[in-house]
Amino acid sequence: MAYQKIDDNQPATLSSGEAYFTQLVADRCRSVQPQVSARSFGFGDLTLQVIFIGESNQDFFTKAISHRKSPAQPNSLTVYVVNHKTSGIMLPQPCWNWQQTDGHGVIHGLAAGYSGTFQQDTGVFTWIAHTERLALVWGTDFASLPEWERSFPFRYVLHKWFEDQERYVLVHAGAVGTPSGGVLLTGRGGSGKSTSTLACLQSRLHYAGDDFVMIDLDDPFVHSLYNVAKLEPENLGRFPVLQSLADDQPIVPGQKLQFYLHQHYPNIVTKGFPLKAIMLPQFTGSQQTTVRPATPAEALKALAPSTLALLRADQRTFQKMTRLVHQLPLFWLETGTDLAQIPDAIYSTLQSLPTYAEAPC
Amino acid sequence: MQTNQYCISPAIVSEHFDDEVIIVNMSRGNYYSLRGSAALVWQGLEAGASQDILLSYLANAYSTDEAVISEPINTFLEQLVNEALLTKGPQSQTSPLPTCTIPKPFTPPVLEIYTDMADLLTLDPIHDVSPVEGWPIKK
Repeated sequence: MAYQKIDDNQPATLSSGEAYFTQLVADRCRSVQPQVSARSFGFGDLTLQVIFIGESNQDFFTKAISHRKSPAQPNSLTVYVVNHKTSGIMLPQPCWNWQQTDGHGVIHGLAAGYSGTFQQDTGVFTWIAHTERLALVWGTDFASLPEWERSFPFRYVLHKWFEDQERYVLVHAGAVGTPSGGVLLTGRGGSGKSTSTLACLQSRLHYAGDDFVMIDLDDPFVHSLYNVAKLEPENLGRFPVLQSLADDQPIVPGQKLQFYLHQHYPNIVTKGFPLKAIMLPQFTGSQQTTVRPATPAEALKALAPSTLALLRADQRTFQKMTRLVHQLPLFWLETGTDLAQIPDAIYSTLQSLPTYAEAPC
Repeated sequence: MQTNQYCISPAIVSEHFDDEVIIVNMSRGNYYSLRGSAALVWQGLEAGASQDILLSYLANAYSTDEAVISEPINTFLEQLVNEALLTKGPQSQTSPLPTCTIPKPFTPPVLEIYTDMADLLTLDPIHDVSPVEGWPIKK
């Protein structure tokens, strides 16, 4: 993008309008005193240092990632979470033309190292500046955000941060396993991905997520992102471990129930495990659950479409998922009505695969 | 002016597997599967083959006459254009096509279309804001 001067006070040393915009954002956030309420969360080799400005309901952004809490690290990515309504902090004048924004709110044509999205329906603007290691999540009023937003905070920030790195990729999948290895569970909507993941809650398999997880492709490893289990209200009766938690649930018509497992069952939730296989759940209607081999093309068709759509991702993410399906054993998980058979089938499959050394998470 | 040359749209991504090609078109929200002769056509298009060369290539691969496969191949190419996977126009570079012989009869190419991704790409309201301090401002 051609550099355009924003105003006469713009420093000549900044290389782009995006850099200047980022500096203005940083200046405005840092001008708020005292700087309080910083929390840190680790994801792979990245630590997010989250600083809240004018946000009283911080749990909205941190409950889903509470199991990833970590000590502050140098070289963290600083994420300012700014509630305009309570802080009064305004956004700087944009350095882009609004014609660069697509119907999804993604701002195209920014200088390398900068990403932005503006969801006008929720009033949330997200900005990621790689060089400055700064991100901004700015909202007109976070109190008005839909409840489901709390189940995957900073999803766009994490995706954009890792998008042009070869090593990590966020994928739309569940993941369960043991410390020595586990599986991704992925498939099209209605395939039974969530049911299969949640069927493992009272088994010897640990839970790393049922919606989005992060994969280390260099040494295949699942990093848990969110400790939230999601369930259609009508399916609650099938999962006894969740029934006792249902009374705490706000009932939102048309939305899934959310269960923050780390809060109630910290031993169920894992930070991650070596990734040994990908399984594609498919509900058969019979009682039995069986496992049979799948092809890389079948796995990519299960994994890629929803990941690409939900993350608004591009060919880089597609290519990383392609790499993933080429390097792991792949199976159809043909699930039956006897849910107890699902974790047994997954565990048996894991036992049949080579075991690697446990990796730290 | 009629052209017999096609270019693969830059807006799509695709991946070859042993017996299948997966294509994703993010702008339209669809993804596609090509098998058999459809996968072979795509391989030819990736190499920059013109319509005429494609017909000759497939006729050789399936040991049949171009006249037999002409109509289904042309129909298939038009379908790819309609799905915005191809555009008509000159190709700047052509790489050689691999020689192959298919030990079974030619069957017309089929474009398997999956539309479930489009539901997840539901558009936000149109963004229409003023470039002023304190945005967003809906006009």
